Amino acid sequence: MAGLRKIRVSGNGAVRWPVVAVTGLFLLLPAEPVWSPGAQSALAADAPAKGKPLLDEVVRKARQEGELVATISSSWRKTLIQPLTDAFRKRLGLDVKVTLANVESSQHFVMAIAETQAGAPPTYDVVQGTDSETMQLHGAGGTQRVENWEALLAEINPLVRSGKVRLDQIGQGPLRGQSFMFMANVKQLIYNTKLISEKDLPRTHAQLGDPKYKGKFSQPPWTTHWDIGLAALEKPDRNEWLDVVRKAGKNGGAVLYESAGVQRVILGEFAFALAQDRYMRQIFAKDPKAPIGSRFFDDYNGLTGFYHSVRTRPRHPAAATLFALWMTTPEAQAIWQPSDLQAVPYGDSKIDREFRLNIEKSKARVIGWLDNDKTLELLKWYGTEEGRKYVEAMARAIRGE
Amino acid sequence: MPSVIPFVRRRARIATADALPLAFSWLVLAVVIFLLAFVLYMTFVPSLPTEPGFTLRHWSNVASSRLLTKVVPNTVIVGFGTICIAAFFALPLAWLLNRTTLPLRTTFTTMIGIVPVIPGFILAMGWIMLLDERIGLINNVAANLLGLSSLPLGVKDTPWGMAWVLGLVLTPPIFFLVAGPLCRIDPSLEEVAGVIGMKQLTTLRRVTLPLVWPGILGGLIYTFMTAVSIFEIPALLGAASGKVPVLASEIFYSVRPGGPLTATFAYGAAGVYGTLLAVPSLVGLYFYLRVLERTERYQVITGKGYRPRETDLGPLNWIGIGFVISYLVLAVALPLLVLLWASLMPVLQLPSREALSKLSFINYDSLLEGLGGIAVIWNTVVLVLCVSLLVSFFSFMVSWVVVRTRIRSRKLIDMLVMVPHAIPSLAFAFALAMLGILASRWLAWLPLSGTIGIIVIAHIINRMPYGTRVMNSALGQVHHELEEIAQVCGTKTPTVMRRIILPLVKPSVVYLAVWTAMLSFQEVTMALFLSGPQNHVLAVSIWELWESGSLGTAAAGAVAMVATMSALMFAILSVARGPTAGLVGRGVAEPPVAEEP
Amino acid sequence: MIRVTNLRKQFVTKHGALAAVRGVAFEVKEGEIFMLLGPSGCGKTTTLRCIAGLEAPDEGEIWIGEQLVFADRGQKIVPVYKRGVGMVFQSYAIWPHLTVFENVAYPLVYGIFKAPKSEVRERVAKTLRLVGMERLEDRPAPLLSGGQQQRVALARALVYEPKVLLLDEPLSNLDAKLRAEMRVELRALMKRLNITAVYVTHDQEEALVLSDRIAVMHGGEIKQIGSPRDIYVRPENDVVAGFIGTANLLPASISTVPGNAREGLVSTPIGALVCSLPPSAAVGQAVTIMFRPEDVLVSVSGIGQSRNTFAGIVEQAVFVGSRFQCVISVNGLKIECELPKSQVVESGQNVAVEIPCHAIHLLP
Ligand SMILES: Nc1ncnc2c1ncn2[C@@H]1O[C@H](COP(=O)(O)OP(=O)(O)OP(=O)(O)O)[C@@H](O)[C@H]1O
Ligand SMILES: [Mg+2]
Repeated sequence: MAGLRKIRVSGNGAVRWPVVAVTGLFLLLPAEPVWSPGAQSALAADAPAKGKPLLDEVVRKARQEGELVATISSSWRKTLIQPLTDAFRKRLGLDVKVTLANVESSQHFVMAIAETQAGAPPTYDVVQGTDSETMQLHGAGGTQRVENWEALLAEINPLVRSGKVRLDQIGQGPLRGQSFMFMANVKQLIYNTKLISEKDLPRTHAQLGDPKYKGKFSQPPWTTHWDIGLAALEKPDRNEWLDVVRKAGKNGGAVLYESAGVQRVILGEFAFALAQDRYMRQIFAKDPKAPIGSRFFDDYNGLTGFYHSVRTRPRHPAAATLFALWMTTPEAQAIWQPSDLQAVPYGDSKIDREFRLNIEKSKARVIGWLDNDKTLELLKWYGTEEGRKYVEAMARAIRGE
Repeated sequence: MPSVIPFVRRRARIATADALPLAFSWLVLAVVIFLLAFVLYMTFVPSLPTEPGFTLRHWSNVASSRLLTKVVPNTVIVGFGTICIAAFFALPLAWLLNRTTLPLRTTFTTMIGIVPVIPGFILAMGWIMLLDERIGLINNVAANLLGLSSLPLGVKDTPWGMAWVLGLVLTPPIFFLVAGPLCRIDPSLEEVAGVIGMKQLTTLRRVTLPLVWPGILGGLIYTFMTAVSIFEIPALLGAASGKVPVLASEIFYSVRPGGPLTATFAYGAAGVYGTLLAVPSLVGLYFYLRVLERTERYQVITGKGYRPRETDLGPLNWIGIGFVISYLVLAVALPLLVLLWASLMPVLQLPSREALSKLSFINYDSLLEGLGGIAVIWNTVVLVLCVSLLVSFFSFMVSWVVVRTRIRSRKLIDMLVMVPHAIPSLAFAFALAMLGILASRWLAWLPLSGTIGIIVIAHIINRMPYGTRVMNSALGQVHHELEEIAQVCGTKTPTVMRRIILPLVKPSVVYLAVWTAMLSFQEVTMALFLSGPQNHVLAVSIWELWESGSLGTAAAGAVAMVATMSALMFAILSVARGPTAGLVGRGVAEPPVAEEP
Repeated sequence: MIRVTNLRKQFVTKHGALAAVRGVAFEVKEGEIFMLLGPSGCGKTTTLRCIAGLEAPDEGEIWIGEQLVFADRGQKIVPVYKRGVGMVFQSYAIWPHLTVFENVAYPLVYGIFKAPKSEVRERVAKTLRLVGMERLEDRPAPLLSGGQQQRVALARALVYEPKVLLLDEPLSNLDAKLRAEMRVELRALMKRLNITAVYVTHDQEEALVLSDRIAVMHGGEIKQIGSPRDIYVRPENDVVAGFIGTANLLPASISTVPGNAREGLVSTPIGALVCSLPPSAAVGQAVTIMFRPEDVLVSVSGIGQSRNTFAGIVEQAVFVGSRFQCVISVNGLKIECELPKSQVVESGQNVAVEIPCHAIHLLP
C-alpha cells in the first residue's frame, strides 16, 4: 500500500459531521458550563487586576515542568518553529525545552481520542485543530479546561486586555475556556481568469449542478461546504439538498483536495475550484500576475476556526496553558502569518483587515458551526445515527454516486 | 530445453543447522502475525479499538453493487494493465542492462533506480500536463498537426491511463527482481543452447526466460498487488472523483465514510479490503510457490565454473539503447523535467513565453530549514539505513528458511510474510499507532509511540514481501552443493551464510538494500500516520509542503531529494561495480582460454 | 574405518514415497578405496550423502573411524561439520566468488579445521602442489577448466587431512582422455596419502581401475561386494554380470548332472552346453548362464569336433581399433563376441562359434 495517502489540504476549514458525534456526547455532560454571553464581559473587566499573580504562578509551574510539546499546523513552514519557540520563551521568561511539531490534525485527533480512551499520557501537551475536530476531542474528554482563563488571557494578550477583542471572539460556544481560536479561513470559489469571467461563476451552491459547468470545476471530497448549508437555508429539505449535492457531484470535473484542485485551476485544466481563501493569498504572494481570482458564493460560505486546546492529563499542563493562550497574541501572529497567510478574525494585521473587508464588501454570508443555536442544533443532528448516514450519503453524492 | 537443466535433488538438512535463520524468521513473523491479528480484530471494532463494541458493519458495507460492477473491473484493468506495461519495459530492460554489452549500463541502471524517489503527485501532474485533453502539451501539439480540436487520448478518468502511469512507475521493481537472477544465470546453460543451434532469441525464450521465471512471476504478483493498492496516482487521475473508482480509492473513502475530514473513523474497513485483497493475492502466491518448488531445477549458480557472458548486440545496439532511452525519457526524464519546472515556477503553469519570464529560484530559498533542517535529515538517514539493513537481513533469513531448508512450515512462512503486502499500509499504520498508544499506557518503558523505531517497524513489515521475493529468487539460484560442501569443510551455518552464500547473492542483496532504501525514503502514508514530535522524516516534510499548497517548494525539495539519492545510488552502485555489482567473476574481464592440465 | 549397517532412506515426494536406499551395509578398511558402482538412480549418491551427514537416514548405523555418527533413527547424530570427512561433488562445488587459493584455504580459515594463520599458506601450497595446481593459486575459480576445477575440489577436500574421503563421480564431467589419465593419478595420490575413500561412480571401467573393492548397487541394494577381479570374473548374479562389462546371458535349465564329474550339460535356446556345475546342481533347475564376449571363439573354417560349438551368421561387425566387436546370430539368438583385429569377418558370413567350457558361469 504505497499510496493510501491522505492528500489533505491542511487546515482546511472543514466542519465535520463527526464533530457532531462528539457534540452529542458533549451535550450529555451535565457538568459542562453553559455558555451565557451575558456573564462574560463582567469577567473580562476585573480580570487584569488579578491576572499578574495568576500568570506568575503558572509561569513558575511551567518552569518546574521544564518542557513543552505542542503541535502546529502541518501547513506551517518548519522555519517558523525556531522563531515561535524563541518568542514564546522570551515573552514568558521560560527557559524550558520546547518542541513544536507539524501535525496533520485530522489524523492526529484520532490518535488523541484513542490516547484519552486508553488512559495513555497524551503525546502532545497542547494540540491545534479545527472547531469541529476540537469539539470531538472535547466530547471524548480529551481536552482540559483552563482555570482562570479570562484573567490569564487578559494578562497575556494585549488585545484582550485593552478590550479591543472580546473573550467570546477567542473562546466561543461550547469551547469557551477550553480551546482558543487563533486563525480561521473561509471557503470560496477560486477561478482561472483566462477561462471564466467572474460574472459567469455560479452564484449559489445549487448552481454547481448547472450543465454549463459540466466538467469545469473541482471540489474537495469532504462534505463541509455542503453540510453546513442546511443551517444556512431557510427551510431545509434534506432530500432535496442531497439531490443538489448529487447533481453538482455528477457535474463536476474532479474531486480533489483543495491544493490539488487549485493547482489544476491554475494550469487551466479546470475553470474553478472550491477552496479556502488562503490559497489565493499564497499564489499572489508568489506570483502577483497569476491568472486567478476568487469569489464568495451568494448563498453562504463556510468558515472554519482553528483552536489550541490543552490535553487532558498532559505531562506539562502549565506550559501547555501558556502556549495555548500565547498563540492568540499579535506577537505570535506576527511570526506565522506572513508565511502561512491565514487570517485571524479578531486580528489587526493587513491580512485580517482585508479578510473582514472582503466579506463585508461582498455582503457574503459567512457561517461557522459555533455561530448560533441553529448551527449547533444541526451539528447535534449530524451526531445522531440518522445524521451520520446523511453525511455518508452526502460524501458519496459528491462523487456523483 | 529442459533437458539441459540438471535435476537437482532436494536436500535433507539436519534441523539444528536451521535454528538461527528460523529464529530470526519467526521473530519477524511474530510481529507480522501480531499486527495482522490486530488489523483483523479491528475489522470488528466499530470505531477505535479503545472503545467497546463489536460490529459486522465494515464487512457488510463492503458488499455494494458498485463494487462488482465498477470497482473490481476497474481494479482488474489497472492491475493487469500495469503488469503488462511494467513487464513490457522491465524484462527487455533487465536483459539489455545485464546481459549485453550496451554502453553506459551503470548510468542507466541508476536512473531506473531513481524512479521511486520521484513523488507520485509530480508524476500524475506531469502526465496531466502532457496528455490532458484540454491542456496536455502532447495532445495539443498533435492535435495542431493533425488539424483536430483535441485528441481523444488521455490519462484522466480512464483505468488505462492509470495503468500507463503506474506501469511506468512500477517497472523498476520487476527490473530489479529479475536483474539479480539474470546476472547469475550460468552462461554454460545458454551456451549449451547455443551449441544445440538455437538462435539468440530462442535461447532467450527457451533458456533464459524459464530460468528467471520464478523471479519474474514473483515480481508480477508483487507488482499487481502494489498497483491495486497505490492511491495517490489513481486519485489524481480520476479515481477520487468517483469516475473510475478503484479498490484503493474505495479503501480510502471507507475508512472515513463521511469524507476524509470527518472524524468518524472506520479504519477497520481498510482491514476488510485488505483481507479481500489478500485472498486473490494469496492464490497468486500459491501458484508462485508452485513454480518456486521447481526452482531447484533452476539452481543456476553451480560450482562448475561459469563465466557471465554478455551478448554483443552489434548493430542492434542502437535499438537496445533506443529502447532503454525511451523508457528513461517516459519514466524519468519527463517527470524530472516537470519536477524541475515546477520547482522553478513560483506557481506551476504550463510552459509558455510568459511562464519562462517567471522562472526563479525562489522556491530554493532556505530549502533545508523549510524541510526541517538537520534533525529531519538525520531522522531520514536513520530510518532509511535501519530499514534497508534490517529488511535485507530479515529477508535473507526468511528466504533461507523458505528456499534452502526443508522445514515443513516453510511454505506457511512464505505466505505469511507476503500477506502484509495485501493489507493497506493505512491499516497497518493505524494498527501500529494504536499499539503504540496502548504500549505507552501499559509498557511505558517501551519507546514506541512517536519514535523513529515505530516507523522502522512499519516499513520493515511493509517491505518484507518484496525483500523476500528478491532473496527467494536469489537464494533459489545458488546450487545447494555449494553450501553443503562448506558444511563438510567443517563450518557451521552462520559461517556458511556469511562467507559463501552472502557473497554469492551479493548483487541481489545490494539491489534489495538500495531499492528498499529508496522506497522507505519516499514512503509517506505510514511515516505521516506514525509521526510524533521527534520523528519527522523528509518525505513527510515534502508531503506537507505539497498538501499545504506549496507545490513549488515541495518540488524544490523533491529535486534536492532526487539529486542526493541519485548521487548516493550512483556511488553505491559504482563502488559495488556496476549494475552487475559483485557479480561473481565479472571482475575479470577477459577469461583466458581454458587450458587442460 | 567406515562401517555402514542396514542403511535405509526413503524420500517422500508428491508422488508417494520412494525408497532410495534399502538396507545397505558395508565396511571399508583403512587405506582402502571402496567403490559404489551402479546404474543411475540406484542410490549411490544418497548413500554417500548419508555418510557425510547431508542426508538423515531413516534407519541404520554409520561409523566413521571409532565414532558412531548416526544411530537410532537419528536419536544419535553428529552434524555434518563435525564429521571430519573430505568430500568431492560431481559438480565440484567450487565457490565461484573465491580464487583457487581461497577455495582451498577455506577449511583452514574458518570452522573446526582452523589452522594457525602462519600455517595456512604453506599447507594450501603443499596441497595444491600435490594436485598439480601450484601455479594457479590466484586464479578466480570460474576461470578454471574442468580438470583444474576437479583438482581444486580435490585439494579442498584434502587440505585438512581428513581421515575419510567421499567422492561422488568426481571424473564424470571430464572428457574421456582426461578421465583415463586422472583415474590413474587419483589412485596413485590416494594410495600415497593412505586415504580411506568411498568413491561413487556409474562407470565400470573407472571402478575396475581405481578401486580396491567394489560394491555393485542396484535399486537401493548392494548386489555384490568384492575385488574388481572377483566382480568381473565371478559375478554372483545377472544384475552384476550385466552391469560389469558386457555379458551374454542365456536362460537355461540343467539337463544332466553326471555322478562325480564336475562337468554337466545344460540346455539353452542355442543348444546344449557343457559346463562345470556347482555341487548343489539338480536336474531341471532353471539357471542363467553367462559368458563374456572376449571368451567366445569364432572360426570361419566350419564346425569342427570341439564341444560347445554352433553354427552362426555374422550379423554385425564393428571395428573398434584394437579388435572387432561382432554380433553373431546363433539359432536365432544374438551372441556378442570380440575377435582379434587380425581375424577379419564380414556380416553375412557363416562362422562357427565356440563357447569354451571354462568361460561359462552359472548364475542362479
Ligand atoms: N531429495 C530427493 N527427493 C526425492 N527423491 C530423491 C531425492 N534424492 C534422490 N532421490 C531419488 O532417489 C533415488 C536415488 O538417487 P541417487 O541420487 O542416490 O542416485 P545415484 O545412484 O546417485 O544416481 P546417479 O548415478 O544418476 O547420480 C533416485 O530415484 C532419485 O530420484
Ligand atoms: Mg549420483
